[in-house]
Amino acid sequence: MSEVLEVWLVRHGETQWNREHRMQGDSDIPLNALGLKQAQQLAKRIGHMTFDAYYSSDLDRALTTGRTVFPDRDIQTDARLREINLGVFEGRAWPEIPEDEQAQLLVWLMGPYDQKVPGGESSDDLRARVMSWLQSLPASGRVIAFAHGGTIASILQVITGRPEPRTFNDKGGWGFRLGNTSISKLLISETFTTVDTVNDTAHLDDMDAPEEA
Amino acid sequence: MLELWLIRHGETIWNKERRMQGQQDSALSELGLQQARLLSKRLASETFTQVHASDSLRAKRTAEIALPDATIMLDARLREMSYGILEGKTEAEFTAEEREHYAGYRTNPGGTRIPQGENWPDILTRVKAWMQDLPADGKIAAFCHGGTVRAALLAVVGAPDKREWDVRIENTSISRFLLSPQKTMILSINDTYHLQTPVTPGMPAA
Repeated sequence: MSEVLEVWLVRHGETQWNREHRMQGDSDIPLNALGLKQAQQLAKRIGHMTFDAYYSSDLDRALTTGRTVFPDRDIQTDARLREINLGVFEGRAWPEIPEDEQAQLLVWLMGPYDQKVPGGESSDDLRARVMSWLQSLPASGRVIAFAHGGTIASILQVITGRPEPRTFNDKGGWGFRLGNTSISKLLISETFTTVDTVNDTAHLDDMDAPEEA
Repeated sequence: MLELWLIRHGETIWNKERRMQGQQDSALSELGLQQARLLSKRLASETFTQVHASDSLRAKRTAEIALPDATIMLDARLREMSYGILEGKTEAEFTAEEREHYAGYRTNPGGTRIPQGENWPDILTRVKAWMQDLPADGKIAAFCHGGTVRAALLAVVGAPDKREWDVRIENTSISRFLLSPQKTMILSINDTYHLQTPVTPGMPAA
């Protein structure tokens, strides 16, 4: 039996810009009241668990989520876990973006994946830094990282592959939905990866969430 | 838009014995029945426009327990992958030749067909055909098998032809997809939260 690393990937709680459907990217927007509450619900569910290492994006919304769940643990911040930099689009809501500019933004989701968002990163840029982070992890044990929707989707797509590059109106795209404070889990060995869970937000369903074993 | 809930059957006697099931069948175990009852509690607040199930008994039975009032549409395209000559056997019971077929399947699932069984393109084709026949809108629950859920996921993300990754699909787990003509969103994979709900000790299950 080869060594296995269990990786838990948690998206941050809600921010005001999430609620307003504004592109956040690298903009450092804090959690709102609901986001903090979501993090507290997650704390009830997994706060008693022990991990071999705790990581977080250095953006406030991720780190505050992590610190709310694990207030007395040593959380290592890592800029490689940041959300994709959306350049000139950060702070804008989708309906505010003129149609001819929308395609510039969608390249990171739909390809061509090496094309940068104006003033920001490409999907490949994001993938390179999340890969670099994944490869820096220990070979076995259980680790948790507090990060972002784009970061986590990028990690999942390192495993599943990305959709074939296409234009916005073509059929056949796909993506992962990752809710605020959702848990996704991977089991990684040298030769094989298992996608264990994607987008588990059950702790948000009720106020008396049972503890995770 | 169509929201699709794919649900694996509860544990069976053969699951417990680690016996290859494929398109053969065995009854739900005590644990499997309990899992289906916990699933039923979980689904009580959901409304489905249609309920489908594989015509294998373990899937149909799980559906009947989980959604007792539903009209269940049975569909053979939702069956587990056929494991041919390996069905009904545990690894310990394989002949040397069967062991070789099994090893081939484990290391190269995309390129291996167990004698008298199916290969990945076979199950992908029938699961895709089932998905294409679904209505464009609504919310559908389909009770099926680990292989069926994998096939649906691989129909969306693309089937790996080498054994590099797999997805865990546990008994009574829920995996959800949102399908529209343009785009598919994977809403969740292998959600088993209902199994973590503590059962009051000493209380017989309802």
